[in-house]
Amino acid sequence: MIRLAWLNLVRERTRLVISTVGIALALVLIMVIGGIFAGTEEFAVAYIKNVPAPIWLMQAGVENMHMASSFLAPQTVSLAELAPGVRDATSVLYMGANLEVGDDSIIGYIIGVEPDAVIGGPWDMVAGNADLAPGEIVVDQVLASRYGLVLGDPVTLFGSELTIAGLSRGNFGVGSSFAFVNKQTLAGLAGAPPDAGSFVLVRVESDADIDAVAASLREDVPGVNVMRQAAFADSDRELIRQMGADIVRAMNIIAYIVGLLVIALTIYTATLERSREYGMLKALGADFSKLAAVVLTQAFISAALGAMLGIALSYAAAQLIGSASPDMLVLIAPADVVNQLPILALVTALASLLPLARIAHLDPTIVFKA
Amino acid sequence: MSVPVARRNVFHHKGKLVLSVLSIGAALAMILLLLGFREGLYAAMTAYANNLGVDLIVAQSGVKGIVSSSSTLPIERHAQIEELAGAQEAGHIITAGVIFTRADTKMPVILIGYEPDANLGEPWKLGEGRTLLDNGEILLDTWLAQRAAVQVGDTVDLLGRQFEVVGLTRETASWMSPYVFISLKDAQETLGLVNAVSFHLLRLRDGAGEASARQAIEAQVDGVDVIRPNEIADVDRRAIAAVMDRPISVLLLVAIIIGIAVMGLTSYTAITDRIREYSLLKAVGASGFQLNRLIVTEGLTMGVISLSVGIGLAFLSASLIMANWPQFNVVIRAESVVLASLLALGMTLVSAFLPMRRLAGVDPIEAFKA
Repeated sequence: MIRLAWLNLVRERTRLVISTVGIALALVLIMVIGGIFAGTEEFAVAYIKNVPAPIWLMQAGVENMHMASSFLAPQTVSLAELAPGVRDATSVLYMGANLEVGDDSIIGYIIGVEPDAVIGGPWDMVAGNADLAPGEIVVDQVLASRYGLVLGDPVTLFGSELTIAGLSRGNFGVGSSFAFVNKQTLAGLAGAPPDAGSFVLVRVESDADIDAVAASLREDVPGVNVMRQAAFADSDRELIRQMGADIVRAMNIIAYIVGLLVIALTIYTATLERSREYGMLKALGADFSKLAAVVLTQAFISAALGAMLGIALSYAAAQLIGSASPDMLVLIAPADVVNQLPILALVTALASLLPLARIAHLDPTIVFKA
Repeated sequence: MSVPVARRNVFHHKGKLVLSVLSIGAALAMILLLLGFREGLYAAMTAYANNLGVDLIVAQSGVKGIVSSSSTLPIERHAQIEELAGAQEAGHIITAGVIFTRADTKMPVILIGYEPDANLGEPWKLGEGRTLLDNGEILLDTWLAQRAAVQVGDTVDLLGRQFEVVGLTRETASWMSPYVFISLKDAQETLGLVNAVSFHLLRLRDGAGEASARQAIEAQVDGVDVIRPNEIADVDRRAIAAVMDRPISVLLLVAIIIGIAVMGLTSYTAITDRIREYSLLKAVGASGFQLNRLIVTEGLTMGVISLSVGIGLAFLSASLIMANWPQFNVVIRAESVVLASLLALGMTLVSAFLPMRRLAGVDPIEAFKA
C-alpha cells in the first residue's frame, strides 16, 4: 500500500517537489510567526535578565517593564537600603522615547543610570565606556551600524543632542530597544525631578535569604511593588505571549488553510491522474477501504515530506533572519515544532476528503473506456 | 474558426479548478491580510491623534508622537499658551503606557487622562454606558472589557487604584495596546505627575491663523513644540512602522513564495495532465511560441479568477477576523489590492517557467502512444 502510494507521488517528481515546498512554506510561516514573538519575549526581558539584581522595586500596581511606566518616590532608594539583608540599592529612570538620527525616528526605551552606579547600565560593552557623563548616551552596536553611527556622533533625544560615548551589545531588538543615558540628563530632558526614579534594583548580602529580604522590603518601603527578578521577567514574557497569542493563532489558521489546499490539490491531482488505475483496482475487487488507504497514505507522505522540509527551512530561516537583521530574533523551540504535528495531521486528513470522495464515486467501468 | 484551448483547459475539470483557484486565492488573500493587519495596526495606534478634533497640540520640546514617546509639561503654562494661541478652547491630556491586569488578563494599554468637563481629548465613540463625569471613573475599550470579563458598573484596578467602569469605548481596540480613559486628575495622581501634563490641546477660533499661533507659542514658551494632530499621527505611524515593518516584510516574503509555489503547482499539474494534448498540438505544427502563449494565457486566466477569489476571501476573512477578534483592525486599502494584483501577475509569469520547460522537452510522438 505504502509502495503504491509512494509510486503515485514520485511519478511526477516536479509536482511532488513543488507541493512539498508549498506545504513546507506554510509551516515555515507558522513557525516564523511564533518564533518572532518568542524572540521578542527574549529581547523584552534582556535588561531584566542581565541586571544582576535579584529584587526589583517598582511603583505599586506595576508588574511589568515592557510598555509600562513606573514612578517611585525619591526616598525609595534610601528606605530600601535600610532594609535588613540589602547590600545596595540602585535607582534607574526608565521611559519610552524616540531616538532621532537624522530624519529617522527609532522608538525605544531609555534607561537613565547614575554615572557611579554599579549595576543598571549596559551589561555588554563593545566600545567606549559605560560611565555616562551628562549629555552622553550608550546605544547598541546594531543600531549604530544600521544608522552609520560611531563613537562621538550625535543623536537627538527629546529635542536635545547627546553624544554617543559607548556601544553595547544585546539590547536592540524588535519592539524592545534600549539606550542608556546619564540619569540626571534624562530627568532634565523628560521634565522629571532630578531625583526621579522608575525602578530600584536591589542586591542582597551573600548570606541573606532573598525571599526574606523581599518580605522586609514589602514591609518597610511604602508605595512599591517588590518582585523577584525571575518573576518580573516571567511577567513581561506573559505579557508578550498574551499580546501575540491571538495574532499568532489568526495567522496560523490562514497558513494552515493554505497548507490544507496545497495538500488537497496535490492528492486530488494525483488521484485524477490515476483514475483508470483506481478503476481497475475496483474492477478487480479492491474495496473502498483499500483505495482510501492508498489516498490517505499519499496525503500523509506528502505532508510528512513537507513537514520535514518545513522544519529544516524554519530553522534555516531563523538563522538567516538573525544574521541579516540582528534585531529580529526568531526562536523556534522543539516543543513548538512538536505542537504543530497533530494539527498538520488533522489538516492532512481533511485535505484527503475530496480525493476520497472522488475514489468513492469512481465507476470501475472507466478502465474499459477509450 | 479558432478554438479557445486555454479557456477549455482551465474549465475542463471543475473540482480541480475549484481547488486550484482556492489555493491561489488563499495565498493572495494571505498577502492582502498581512498588508491589512499592518495598515489596521497603524490606524488603531494613531486613532486617538486622528480623532482628537483639535487644531494644535503643544508638546514637550523634541516630542513628536503620542504613542511613541513620553511628554511632560508643567500645567502652569496653560494660561500663557491659551492666550498666545488666541484659542477658543484649551485643554490638557496625560498619555502613558501602562499595563492593565485583571485575573489572568495582562494587557499593555494606552492610558489617556483628560478633563471630563473640558470637551477635549475624550473618546470619540462610546459603545455602552456614559462618558466620564468625575474622578474615580474609567472608560475601557469594549474588546479589553470583554477579554477581562468586565462590565459597566464593575470596579477595576489600575496601578494600585480602584476605578468604577462607567462606559465602554469603540474604535479603540488594538492587539498591541487598546485605549483606556480616566480623568486628568486621576492620571496625575496615579502616575505621580504633580502639576504636570503630557500635552496641551488647542482648538482655535474660526479664522484664527494656525501658523501664527504656532509661531507665537514656540517663540515665547520655552521647551515646547507645537504640532498638528496629523503630524503626530504620521510620526507615530513611522515609529511603529520602523519596528513592525521588518517582521511583516519577512512574513510577506514567505507568503509570496508560497503563492508562487501554489501557482507553480497549479500550472505544472495543468500541463502534465494534458501532456498528450500538447504533444498532439506540437505534432500538428504548433510552435514553441504558440504553446508558451497557451501556458501563459492559461496561467493568466487562472490568475485573474484566483485574484478575484483572493480579494473576496481577504475581505470576507477580514470581516470574520474583526467580528471574532475585535482587537485586530484589518484595513485592506486599494493600494494593497493593486500590489496583490501585480504580485499575482508576477507570480503567474514566474510559475509558468517550469511548465514551459517541461513542454519544450515533450516529444510530439507522445500523442500517438497507446
